[in-house]
Amino acid sequence: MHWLPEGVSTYSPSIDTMFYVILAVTGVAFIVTEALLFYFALRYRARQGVRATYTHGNSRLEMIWTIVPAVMLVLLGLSSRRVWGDIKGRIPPTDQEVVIVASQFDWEIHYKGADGQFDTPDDVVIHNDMSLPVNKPVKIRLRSKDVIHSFFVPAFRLKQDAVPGLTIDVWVEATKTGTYEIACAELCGFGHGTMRGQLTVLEPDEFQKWLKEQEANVVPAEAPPA
Amino acid sequence: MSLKHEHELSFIRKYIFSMDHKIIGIQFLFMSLLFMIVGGFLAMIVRWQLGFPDREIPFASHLPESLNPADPAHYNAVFTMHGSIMIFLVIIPILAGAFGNFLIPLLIGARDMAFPKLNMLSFWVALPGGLIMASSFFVEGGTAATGWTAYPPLSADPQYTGVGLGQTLWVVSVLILGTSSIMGAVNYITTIVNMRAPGMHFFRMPLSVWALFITAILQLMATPVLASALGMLLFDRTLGTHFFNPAGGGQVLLWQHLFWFYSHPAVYIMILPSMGFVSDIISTFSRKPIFGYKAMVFSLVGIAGLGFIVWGHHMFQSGMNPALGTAFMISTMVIAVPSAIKTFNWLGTLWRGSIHFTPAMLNALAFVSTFIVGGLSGIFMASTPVDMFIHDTYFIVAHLHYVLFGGSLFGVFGALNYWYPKMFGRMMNSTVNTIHWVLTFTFFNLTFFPMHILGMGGHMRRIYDPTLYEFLKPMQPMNEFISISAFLLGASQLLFAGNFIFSLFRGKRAESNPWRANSLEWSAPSPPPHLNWGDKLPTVYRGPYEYSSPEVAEDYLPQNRPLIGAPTPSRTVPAPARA
Amino acid sequence: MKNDSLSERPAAPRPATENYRLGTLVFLMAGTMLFAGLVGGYLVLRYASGAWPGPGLPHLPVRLAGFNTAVIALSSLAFHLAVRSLRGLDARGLRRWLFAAAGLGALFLLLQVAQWSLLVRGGLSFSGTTYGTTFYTLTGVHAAHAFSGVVWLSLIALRQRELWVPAKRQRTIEVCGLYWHFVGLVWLGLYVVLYVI
Repeated sequence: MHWLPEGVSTYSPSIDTMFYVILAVTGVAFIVTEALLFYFALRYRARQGVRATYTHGNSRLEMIWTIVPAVMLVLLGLSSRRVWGDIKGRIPPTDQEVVIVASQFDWEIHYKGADGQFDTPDDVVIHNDMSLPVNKPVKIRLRSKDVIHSFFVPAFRLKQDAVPGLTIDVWVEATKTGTYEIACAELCGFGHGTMRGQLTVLEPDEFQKWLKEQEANVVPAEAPPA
Repeated sequence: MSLKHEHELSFIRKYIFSMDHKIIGIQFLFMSLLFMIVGGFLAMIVRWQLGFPDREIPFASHLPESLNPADPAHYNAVFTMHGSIMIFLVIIPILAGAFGNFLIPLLIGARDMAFPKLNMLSFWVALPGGLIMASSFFVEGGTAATGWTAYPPLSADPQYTGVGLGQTLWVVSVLILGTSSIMGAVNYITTIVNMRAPGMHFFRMPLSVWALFITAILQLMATPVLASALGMLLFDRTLGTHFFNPAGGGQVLLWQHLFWFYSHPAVYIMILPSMGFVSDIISTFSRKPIFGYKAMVFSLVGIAGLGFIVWGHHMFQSGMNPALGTAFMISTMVIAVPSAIKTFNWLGTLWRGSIHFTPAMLNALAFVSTFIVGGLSGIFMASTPVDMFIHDTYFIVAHLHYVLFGGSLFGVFGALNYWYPKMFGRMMNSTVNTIHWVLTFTFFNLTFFPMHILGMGGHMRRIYDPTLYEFLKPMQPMNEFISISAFLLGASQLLFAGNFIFSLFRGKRAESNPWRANSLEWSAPSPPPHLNWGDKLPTVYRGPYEYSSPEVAEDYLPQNRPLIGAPTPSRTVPAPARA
Repeated sequence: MKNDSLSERPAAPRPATENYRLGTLVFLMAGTMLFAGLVGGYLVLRYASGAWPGPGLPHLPVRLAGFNTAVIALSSLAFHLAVRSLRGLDARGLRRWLFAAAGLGALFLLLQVAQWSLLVRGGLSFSGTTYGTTFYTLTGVHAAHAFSGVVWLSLIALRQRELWVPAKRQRTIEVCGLYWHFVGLVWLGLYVVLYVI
């Protein structure tokens, strides 16, 4: 089954699996309840001389249909918790870091630059075009200059709000090279729908090459970006 | 005493500044239906833009500048007002204001609300609130454009949207509407606790009353918290404070916590009354007692109680602590249980019934059917990791419309069909309303079901042109399909509107109990006079769901009919004052 | 025309708590939630910020506010004695205690104003810092409630000239009393939250 778009991060399979598990559980519940609804409506339509059964309920049935959904839902909750903890509860150790500063309506992507440090004049700053190495965890540090934005890469299944006043760390490890899209998922003003970025996942050596090229292009005066 | 005197009131006192709960209910009804037309029209504009982003709306030149979505800033304004109007001026006032007012005294056997003047005031506060919201269409800068959730800093500082006065009017309007809600809630709670007819103890109340009672408690406890947040937002906008501005020491997420502390219970404010109406309708037209009455009551209570501890599930991706996210996920999963209980009990009520497919019943069945979808799709969002992908996509748009249109509005259509004869003393044409139901149910599903699939594809909500994204381009035909379905859905409503208005004047006269139903409102004339019953209030001998009871030959047994020689179903009846 | 009398028809069972009292209590629950929302916001802002008060900002006058807490508590007590006079059919005592409650309420408001002017002169502005904003908002919203209470109390006291109390006014006094005790209790809560912890 591939109803979701292709996922290219290490955690996208577990999110997708969770999705399909819930789809299966709710799908069964959906079919059973809708079928019963339809069947009862047809089967028990009013007929001459047939009187409805006089009953006020059944405690055993009430118990069953309280406990069964409760158990199912708690199980779904617990398995979601594991996946969630794996994604949001930890950040795998990595030296590859990117800072993304969102603003109306622009993704400003910062790399460390030649000195291996952020917030120095030689930082590489690119707008709306992000590159990452494949098969390597990357820590992404999200900030916002003005309003709330949400960094959304559908192919990674990654979404995280960038909130002014907060610094929020997320991580991703891409599993496939290619070009993907970045979107803003939180209404951020009239340009919200156009706040689009491109994301390229490169082989590690190509990525290093690309980064070196960018570093060479840095004009230090440009450091505090407008 | 004064019964006769009442009929000599002037037109203004009788129909405009009326203190009669039924007139106030009908005032709320007309107000919400008028705003529903506005909100529905805005939805059509939204769908035009999404389905055909590069084509101008045919009648664009006749639209106010602030409504032409070709400018993306206006697109934001249009969907913001669609959501705000539908939530604050249609669904909440029609359920709590219109049906709450009309039904509560009639269903519990009271002559009016506990505080008729306060009741009148609640309408005359709500209407200006609505007009203020509507007036923002005509101010400079246009209406609010930050979504109905109005997240700051976007909503706190005009420089981010270019909307100045419009957003402020939005805040003021919602504050005023909240005040009206609280007034209503005080009245409903007092009336239900204190003014039930002799013999109407709590567990003999129809589920509609239970649902409206629980709703009133939610409104009472949650709305003031929204008011506190709106006050802060207003201060930030007008007095230069920094509640939500991090540069001045404020906290952006504070708004979301306060807002959802109100708005999640508000989601239940918008569905619980419909659940009550649907329970009553299904029991009546299955000619069968509601299955598991007490389970139905306790699940309402459970939903309301849990409703206060799940607000964080709107904030899984907001930057809130992920551990808190887990806690909110578990409480959210648990809140699905009472909803499941209700669904199974509705099915149990249908089982071995004798089902009559009146328009009211068809809409109630549509409610159950769409509520199942809306309830189940909620589980996807409740799961924190899955939510990471589908949060703020069309999946949530599909979910919320399945609950609020499929749920609340089918409940409203059911209730309107069911109680129209009591409200106006005339019958609506049931053939037209059956056709309306077929069309609405079909186009509703064709409009909103595909949105799940858009959401699974990652289609963000609140974007004005999906074709700007490579990964969304393949889905554009589906967007067009949805838009066409939505137009047909909108057009289908003309049938109902026409029937509603025509029947007001030309409908067949209604008898007092056209559905052969049990609850007390059907023992009053249609429409009930001022003070509802003649000299004597009805006395209640049993619960409201004694259909097909073996005690009588007919298939219904009204709550107020004494059975000579037969024991009353419950032994705990306090002796009726004077039988 | 008196709709009030309807609930008292012999056919309807007499409720345990009269409408007006139940309605007032329900209304005050909404009031409590309003302050709960504001206090919640205050606590979030306070505990998310480093220094509270920030450098260079005046501390709140704990002792003045403590004294004022005693003033509003005494006002509540005076109201309680007014209601006791009402029950003891002592209209003169009622009037006296109502004036006492209103007077103490006015003193409370006066001291609140004094406190604000003290802080403003100490450099604490309304919109400059969240420390100032939350303080003025909480005390201001409370003072608005207290002000309407004082006006209401005074009006009742001024109207009470006869030696008897009409039934309708008895109810008004009870409702006003519930409200006034609510204002006092909210202040107690605010005092703890703002000054003590």
